[in-house]
Amino acid sequence: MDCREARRMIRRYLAGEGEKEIEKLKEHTAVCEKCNRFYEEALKMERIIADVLSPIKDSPTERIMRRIEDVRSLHRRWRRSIHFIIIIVFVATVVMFLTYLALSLVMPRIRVQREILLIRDGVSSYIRSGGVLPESETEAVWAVVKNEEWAQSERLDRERRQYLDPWGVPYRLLRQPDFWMIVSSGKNRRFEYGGGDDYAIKIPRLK
Amino acid sequence: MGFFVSGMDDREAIERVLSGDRDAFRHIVERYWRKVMAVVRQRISTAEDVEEVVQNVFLRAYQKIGQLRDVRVLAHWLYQIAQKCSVDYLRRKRHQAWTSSEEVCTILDEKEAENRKEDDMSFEIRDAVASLPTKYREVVMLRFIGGMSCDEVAEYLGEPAGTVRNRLFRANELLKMKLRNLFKGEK
Repeated sequence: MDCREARRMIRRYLAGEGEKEIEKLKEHTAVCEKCNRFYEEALKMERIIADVLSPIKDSPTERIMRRIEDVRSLHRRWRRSIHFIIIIVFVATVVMFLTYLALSLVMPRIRVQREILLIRDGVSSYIRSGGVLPESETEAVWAVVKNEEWAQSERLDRERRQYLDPWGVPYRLLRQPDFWMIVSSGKNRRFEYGGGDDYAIKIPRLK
Repeated sequence: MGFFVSGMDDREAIERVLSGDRDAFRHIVERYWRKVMAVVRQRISTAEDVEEVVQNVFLRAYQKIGQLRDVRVLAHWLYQIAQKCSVDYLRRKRHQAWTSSEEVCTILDEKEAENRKEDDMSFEIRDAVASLPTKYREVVMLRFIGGMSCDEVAEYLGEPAGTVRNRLFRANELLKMKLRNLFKGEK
């Protein structure tokens, strides 16, 4: 191998080619000081330039693998969070539904118990203020309730002059010889004179 | 030369990654990070930004490796991702650095000005590379930073290998001339 051929091979080698011919090249540079220096200088220049130009000096492999792991665990956490959120939403929905069911069962009873007390107080003050209640059982309640703030307007039946309980049946004022009684027919909507599931409260007879 | 670190080939590494062995991806990173860095460096200048984009490239590659249909185009696929990530990053950060292969190296930022004070040799080398015509600078960056062979550079640039070899030779001669004084002082 002559020097011209050797330098051609050095250039090829430095260009990332001709690695198979490196042994032949080594044989030549071992005996040719000039070519050896040419090779060393070219190699040195390439390494220095590569080092100067390279924006990342050390291998970023570990940092990349760590980042991949971070993103994976972030996704895992996110997936877990999503599952958690779905479960929370499901449980909340079930709880809300059950609460609604419970309230829809309980609320009318609470309301009717409260309203009966208010009607009783209304009747007492109506009589004390010298008012005369209508003869009709339902109209007597109407007369007491119609101007009260607590009365729910949608249950004030202005046409028939009645105040309806939460199940849509009018309250009544029963007048007995010894006492009066305010009655709601209850959930079964059947008037049972204060018995059965009726809600009722007695008032000492008022004059 | 070359930066191969183990006997595992790309196909085996990808198969292992796909079968859940995350660690096998380390071999792909180790094998290609320099080349990817060289591609990213074509558009992005600062070291921190380059590192971030290189990380983004491999992260995206890891997430989409199942979409790679042919293992033989792995390098090309990674370069495409690198270009996309670089563009995305530039768009996001609105960086005006080494914006395209036509304008590469024309901008010396403050950091490089600082380098000049700290390290004259680095500055002279950067300056020498920056002053090369684009077609030479491109091959120098891909070859020196990325450690790509002439064939790989040719494939990446879509040029004949002979042309790339000549450009690299010519670029080397120009650099040697520009940096003659510098390397004489080094001896």
